[in-house]
Formats: sequence, C-alpha cells, structure tokens
Amino acid sequence: MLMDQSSPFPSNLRRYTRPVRRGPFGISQRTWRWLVAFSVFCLLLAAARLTQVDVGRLVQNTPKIGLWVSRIFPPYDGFRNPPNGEELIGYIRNALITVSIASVGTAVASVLALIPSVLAARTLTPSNAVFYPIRWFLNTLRGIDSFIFAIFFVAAVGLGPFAGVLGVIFHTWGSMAKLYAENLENMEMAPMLALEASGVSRTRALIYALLPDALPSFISTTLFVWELNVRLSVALGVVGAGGIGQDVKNAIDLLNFPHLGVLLLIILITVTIIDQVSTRLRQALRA
Amino acid sequence: MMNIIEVSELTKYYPASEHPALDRVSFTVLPGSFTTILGRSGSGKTTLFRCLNLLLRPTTGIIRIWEQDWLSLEAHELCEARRQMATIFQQFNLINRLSVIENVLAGQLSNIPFWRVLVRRFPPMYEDWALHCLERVGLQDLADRPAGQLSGGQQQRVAIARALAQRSRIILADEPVASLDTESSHIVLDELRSISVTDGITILCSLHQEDLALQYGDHIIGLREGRVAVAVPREEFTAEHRMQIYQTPDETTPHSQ
Repeated sequence: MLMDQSSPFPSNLRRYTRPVRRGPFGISQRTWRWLVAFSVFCLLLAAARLTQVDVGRLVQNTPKIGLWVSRIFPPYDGFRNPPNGEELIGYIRNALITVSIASVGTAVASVLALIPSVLAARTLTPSNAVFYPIRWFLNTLRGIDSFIFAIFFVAAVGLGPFAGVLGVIFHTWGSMAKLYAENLENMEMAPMLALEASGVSRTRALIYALLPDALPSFISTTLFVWELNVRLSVALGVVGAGGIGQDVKNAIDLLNFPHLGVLLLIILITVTIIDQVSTRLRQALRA
Repeated sequence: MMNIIEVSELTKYYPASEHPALDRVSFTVLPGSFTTILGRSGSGKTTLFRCLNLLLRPTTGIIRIWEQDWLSLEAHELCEARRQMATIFQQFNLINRLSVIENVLAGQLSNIPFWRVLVRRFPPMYEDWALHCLERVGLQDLADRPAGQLSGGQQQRVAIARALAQRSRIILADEPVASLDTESSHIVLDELRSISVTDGITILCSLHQEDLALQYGDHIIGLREGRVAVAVPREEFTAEHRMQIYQTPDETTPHSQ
C-alpha cells in the first residue's frame, strides 16, 4: 500500500467530514456550548457584584482571621479561661438538646409525612384534585427553612427548644413527604394491584403489599433527614430556639474565643457521632 | 346447567387505537369447568381477563357472572364483586418480603378488622386455613420462608394457594405458566386441574401453548385479533381450529395491539 511520507496512514483513504450539529437559530452546538458557559460566567460575575465579593478585603483582614482562629484553637488565649467543668456540662447538655430537637422533630414529621406521601405519589394518588393541592402544600412547607419556621415559633410559643422542635417538624414534614412519595413511586406495584384484582380495598392492599417493601427505604430516608436535621438544628439556637447554637452565639458576641473553640469541638464530635450512627444503621438496612 | 360466566358481544377499544382489543367476544362457561383461552400474544387474552375482574371497563357488551349483571355494579360494589374471583398472574405478583403463609393469608385480607391489617396479624383460625391451602399445593414446609426466595414454579403454587384461601368459586389464570419451564408448567397446571376437579372451582386459564391447552382444558376458546376464532370442547379441536387461531395474519391487516 502506498504510504505518504508525512502521514503514518495510507494516503488513499476516503475523506471524512464531521457533520455539524445545529442547535436553535442555526447556531452549531459547539458554539452554543461556549455561549452557555460564557453566560453562566457572566451571571456569576454579576452575583459576585451583588454579594460585594472583595478579595482585597479578605486579604487585608487575613491576619485578624488568623488571630481569631489561633485564639479558638487551642481554647486558651491567655486572658480568658476555657470553660470550667460546670460550664462544660452545660454545653454538653445543650448539645444533647440540639440532638433532641432534631430527633423529636424528625420523628413527628416522619409520622405526619406518611399519609400525604401516599396522596402525593403519582402512582398511588386517588386523583389530580388531591395530588396537586397536596404537592403545593408540601412544597410550601419544604420551601420554608426550619430556621425561618423557628423564628416564627419563637414569637408564637416563646423562647426555647420547643419552638425549635416545631420549626423542624414543619420544614421536615414537607421534605420527608416528598422523599417518601419518591420512594413509593419507585416501588413494584404489581403485588398490590394483584390484591386489588381479587377485591382487596386499595388502602388494605397498600398497607399489606406495598408498605413492607417501602419500609426499609422509608427508614433509610428518615435516618438521612435526621442526620441532616442534627446539623441544621445547631443554627436554631441563634434565633433563641434552644440548643447549643445559643451558646455559640453568646461566645461570638462576647468574643469569648476559648469557649467558642470548645463549643465548636463539641458540635464537631456530636455531628460526627450522629453521622456514624446514621450511616451504620442505613448500611445495616441495606444488607 | 346454569352458566357461571356469560360474556356476550364484549368489545373493548383502547383510547387512541382504531382496532378493538376485543371484538364482539361471546362465550359461556359452565360451573366447575376448566376452560383454556388460547391465542398468540396480543390476541386480547389479558384484556378479556381485565374486563372480567373489573379492572378495565369494556366499551360495549355484557358480562354476567352468577346471573348478575357485572357491568352495572356501583363503585362501592366493585370490591365485593372482585372477591368472587381470584386471579393468578404470569409474574406471580407475590409480596416478596412477606413469608409464604402471609402471602396466602392475603386471600382473606378483606375479612379481618382493619387494625389487624395494620399489625399484619390474622386470627389463628385464619392461619390454620392458610396452612391447609398451602398443604393443598404441597408447600406447607416452606410456609415461613420469604416468598421472594422461592423458585418460579413454587411462587406460582403459592399464588394458587392464595386463590384457594380466598374461597372464591372462580379462578382466572392469566398465562400462569408463561414464565415457567416445562416441568414447573405441568406441576402448576396439574394443581389447577386438581382443584377444579375436587373443589368444583371454575377455572379460566389463558395459555399460548396449544399442547398444554389441549391437555388441561375441558373447553378451548381460541382468540385471534380480539375475536373468538374457536370455541369447542377439547375432543372436537382439530388442525383446522389451530389454523384459525395461529395462522399468520395477512400482511396487509395491521395488528390490533
């Protein structure tokens, strides 16, 4: 076969032209991709403007940030003492309150989510007239963060962890029902339909045939949301809804860095333990 | 003898389809008989069954079961009516996570108080009955195994036990052996045959294999493109009937499904 000096391939090959794929407005897809990337970049630039991102200010204040960090860890800065035993016990107690807020909130929400999740599952809903209102309701709950709910409930039922629990319940109710509904939509429907075909009512068939299948994924979802809620509940203390967040806010307000350091450590340990427990339990469920 | 099932002029059009899935289907079934519905896939067997157990509303036609007008039932009477028939499916459709006996007990799910459904606990006599039904299909030793762990043939026999547990006088079996090997197919059909003979249960069983249909059915109803092509007692089935059911359709006629 003839070989061209400059090419390692045979010279008599048929010419291949890559087809140009066209997107909207007759602009090629390649160009579109670049246009989209450029627009996203421009939008982000505008967003950075809006949020007053200022690298200079960050660089200028780096020493201050460094100083703060150095005063937080180790939690002894020379003129303020780290928390004593009594204070430490108080902090741990408040960490437990934070975990409790998340746990009670998640538990109540998971029960409240059960029935709406069935009505909001496309495969199970009795009709669109039920499906859409329920979805809107759940989306509203989900759209409002537990933090915002907590501000509202602090005003309504007063300061303290109960307001936090209510905040978690309402936000989680929406998220959990939506996640449950997605689990239900992925379930094998045939066993349930088989029972319905032999005259079992839909409710009974659902409880007997679908629920045993759905339960492991429901529990897994609940654990995942619980873990998330523990992390989010730390912030609830900032608005006076109880738990260790209150102590964090106080320590920052008083520039009490040694205490802040200890508090952050307690939060880190708590969150790590909860993450581990949740992950292990979910692994056990899958097995 | 009085007919247990009477179907006349049953027609079903699916939305957005100009060819009927069922086209003026008429036949009768005697109580205690074993009728096989024979036809290629897409001939309307499943549609017919779904009309019979009221999961699908036919476009026109009459169904009478126990001399009762099946299609004029009120919404609240549907469950009650469906309970008079048990259905067996090609894919078994057992609840895989539940034990074999819990699957059989599902045949009595409508007869226990609601709280018992919630806690999944049946009264002891129901469990005795379910075990008896399992004995009928020879699976009493597997009662406590998760249903999903059983072989296909065994799962289908559990489905038969569930149908028995329901105590209905009619069993509709939609391609019960289409997912099974030859040996399991014979075991399952023998089981159906035997409950038909000993309990006088009427069985309507769809199949696509002619040899099985002839071996087990008292009557053969052949469906082709939604029409009853053949309706004869087993002894009268001929090669000509086979042609009427299986003959390759004219290439110019589009398939009905």
